[in-house]
Amino acid sequence: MSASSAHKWRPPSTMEERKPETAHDQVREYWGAFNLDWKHEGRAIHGWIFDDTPNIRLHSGLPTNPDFAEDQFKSSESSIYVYSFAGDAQVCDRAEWKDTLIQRIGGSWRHWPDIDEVTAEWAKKFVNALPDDIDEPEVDPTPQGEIDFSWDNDDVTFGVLVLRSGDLGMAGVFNKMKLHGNASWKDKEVLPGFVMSGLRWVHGKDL
Amino acid sequence: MTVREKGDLARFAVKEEERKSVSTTPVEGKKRPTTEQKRKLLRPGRDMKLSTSHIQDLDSTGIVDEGLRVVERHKDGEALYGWLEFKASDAIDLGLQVEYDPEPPRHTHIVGWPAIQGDRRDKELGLAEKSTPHPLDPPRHPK
Repeated sequence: MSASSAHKWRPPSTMEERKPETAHDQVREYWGAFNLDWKHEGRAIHGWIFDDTPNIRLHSGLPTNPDFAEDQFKSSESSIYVYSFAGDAQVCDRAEWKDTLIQRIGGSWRHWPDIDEVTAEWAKKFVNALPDDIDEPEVDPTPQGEIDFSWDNDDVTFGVLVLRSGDLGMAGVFNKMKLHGNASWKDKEVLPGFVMSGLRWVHGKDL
Repeated sequence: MTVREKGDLARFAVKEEERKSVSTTPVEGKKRPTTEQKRKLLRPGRDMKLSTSHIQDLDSTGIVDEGLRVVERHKDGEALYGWLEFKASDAIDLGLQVEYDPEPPRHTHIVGWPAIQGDRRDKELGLAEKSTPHPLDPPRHPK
């Protein structure tokens, strides 16, 4: 973790407390927890607030800013509350294509040869975990039983295979650079840095 | 038998959904197909083999005839929309192997795909970068 404090995240002094039903646009059920996406100083942060623990744990999907990676603070509340920042932070709206895509995967997998329900469920979770300010991926099944997500920006391409195990296989071409390999994901709450790097490159922007 | 010579290989587009992989019509002024679009035609099947045809000594009419035979043999073959062409040596340079199948004539398989899925995807992209599209417009149907 960087010693620099320039972008060090601190629990804001002005926190606005909301009950989930009043923050429907920003909150969704996610693996038994609530998932938040928001932006802080122009950078995306993904946070999870668990309903079975008083701890609020923040994670970042942003590999270029490790200061955000392990921040954690205690809440005095043990019930479900959702906190959002007041002030300079801005809520990142959920991408409209996500729900459509999740529905499509839910409706299509039975017609896709070689794809089973377990893989389709991982694929839906993968869609949920993607940043909101990226393009909608192309999605199709592979003969090996994976679900293939791809982003194509002419000479820059990046794709992720969601495997039945819940792990991810990735490969991309970024001009003369290549990135490929597998990463474990199923036990983690945020997408691997590998994926975030690929998405950042193919979109030509920080996420 | 492994193909060791630097022969030309073709992967035929035989379904409507594969047409984008070989179409060279620019979209919004941008060159097509993209590497990613070509990759989708170069994914190995369930048996981890990519089915191709050996076309080194064929002219374009001969390649189209071979493609039409592939359409007829393919269980989901609709029409011949074109093909991607690359050299056997391109596949070999990527660490893949090219196997000649005695039956049907000219049939070859690209094998040796990595078991790690991300690495396999990388090989598909590598082959896509080396391949040249040959669209057929209008598409051809077997007689």
